[in-house]
Amino acid sequence: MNAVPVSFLDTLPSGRRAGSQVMPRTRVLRAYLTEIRFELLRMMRSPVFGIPMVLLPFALYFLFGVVIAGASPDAKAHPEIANFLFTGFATFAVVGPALFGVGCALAMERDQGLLRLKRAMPTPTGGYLLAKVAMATIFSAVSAGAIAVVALLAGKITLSGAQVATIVAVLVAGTLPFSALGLFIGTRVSGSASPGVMNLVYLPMVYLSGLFFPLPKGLQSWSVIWPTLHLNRLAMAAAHLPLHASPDPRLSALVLIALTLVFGGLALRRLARVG
Amino acid sequence: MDARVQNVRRGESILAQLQGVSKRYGKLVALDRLDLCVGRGELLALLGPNGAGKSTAISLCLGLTLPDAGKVTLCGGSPLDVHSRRGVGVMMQEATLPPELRARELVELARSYYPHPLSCDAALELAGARALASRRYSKLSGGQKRQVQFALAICGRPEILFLDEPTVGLDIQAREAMWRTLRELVADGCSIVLTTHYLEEAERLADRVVVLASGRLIASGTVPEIRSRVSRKQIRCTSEVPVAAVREWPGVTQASRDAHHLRVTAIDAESVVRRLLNADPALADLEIQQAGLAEAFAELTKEAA
Repeated sequence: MNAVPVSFLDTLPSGRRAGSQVMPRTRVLRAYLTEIRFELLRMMRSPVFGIPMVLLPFALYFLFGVVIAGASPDAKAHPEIANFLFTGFATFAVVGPALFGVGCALAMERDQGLLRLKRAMPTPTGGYLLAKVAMATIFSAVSAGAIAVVALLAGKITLSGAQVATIVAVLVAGTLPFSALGLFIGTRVSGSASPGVMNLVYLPMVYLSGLFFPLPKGLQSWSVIWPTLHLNRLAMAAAHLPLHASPDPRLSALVLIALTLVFGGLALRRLARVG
Repeated sequence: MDARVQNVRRGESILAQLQGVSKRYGKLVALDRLDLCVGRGELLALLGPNGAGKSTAISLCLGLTLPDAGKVTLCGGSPLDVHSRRGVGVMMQEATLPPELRARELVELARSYYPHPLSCDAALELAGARALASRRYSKLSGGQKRQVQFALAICGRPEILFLDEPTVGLDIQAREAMWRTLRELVADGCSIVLTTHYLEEAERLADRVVVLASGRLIASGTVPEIRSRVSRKQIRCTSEVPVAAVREWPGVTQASRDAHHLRVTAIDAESVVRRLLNADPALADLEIQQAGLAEAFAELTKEAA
């Protein structure tokens, strides 16, 4: 710990002190981008996150959507099954990074005091949360994009490249409400409880919204309560796929916007008050 | 002159200030109308027993908690304003940094928050962590983690540094090196608020010591001033005078004997020494010491309890 040839305060431009410096916009923008870059790097280096959130949906789609469904005798007679499985697994792929990457990470970092340190430091306004949401969106895009490539190459789907791109784009945009839900849960539960609580929300939401298989009639009428169904149907509607007994896409869009505003707002309010 | 302003001994301006601040957590009064200020270029040691209100005072200065009453100022503005916080560096004992990132990456991220930061290398060098630059945070020892946290705290060239137990886990050499850096930073005009349980650390570094107890300021002054608040002195000598007899003498608050020495703590040390010399003409190795900061701290906080 030797002295280095820097004067701590007096070498600032025009002899001004650090605290009186207004940060140029380019540096503020760079601070946001640096936060996102390191958030991505962290998650890429974290196998606990990367393997289940990115590789698992891809592997499950490959197994059930390509290998098993492709070998089924119904595959040729009902090509819509392949389309259904692609959109279902792609929806599944975008929800995980949002709930776990944002929510569980927030809960754990709150416990570990990192959030408190970030609040004390001059982190740009909302930079910490924005980085988490951006990271989840990018991971979702990679995860859904990988499924889309396999679907186009081997999934026996009857969708055009443009339709697939539309579905992926809507789903990736749709990570936002799930990030908001993740944030809300992350502000309420402890780090150690967060994976359990998140799974309690995630698993029913994914399976009971009928993303992978047609639901029995009794459950079908309830599937409308799960936001995953709304995101899935919105993506299908955007790609002009036929929707059977599904909610109006405008209603689905409204549900997802409301989810973002309500849970995002509650999470931000709690973070501002409690941290 | 306002008592608060008198508290600022060195700097010409105030960088952090609590004015009549009160804070409650339910029924617990964490701070009770506390006035505290930190001047430019001074190292203030904030001391107090657990639950005295030190953490609350720091949290208020940093905008992590809002006061129930009173006013908090940081770098001339509100601590909630990011412009004010750009003049601040922070080291928190309980914060775990992202374990997946390397030391250099952590510093690079922290640098991005400040308008005119030090280079990564300079920050790591000042913190004695240059050799750790490419190591992942999760692979560092406790002491090395403290050094990286210190690099993060200073990388923005802050005007005021808040350091919570900065040398916990450091070996003696690293601790001495960090103390040296802290002195250099203060000499360079940086203000430092230090909370520590190592009273030796406060004694060695602080320009001013503030002692809190039960949410109130019970003493404020330089280390010699705080020490002089306690009238007791430590007497050590080689003598055959029985300990039990010495304990009964007026002015003696404590007496004990170890393998070689008789040790006496006394309020009126001069008359006790006179009596000791009379009682034992063979008395040798006599030493009298003013109470240290540790004794002063113990007495002050006991009085306040």
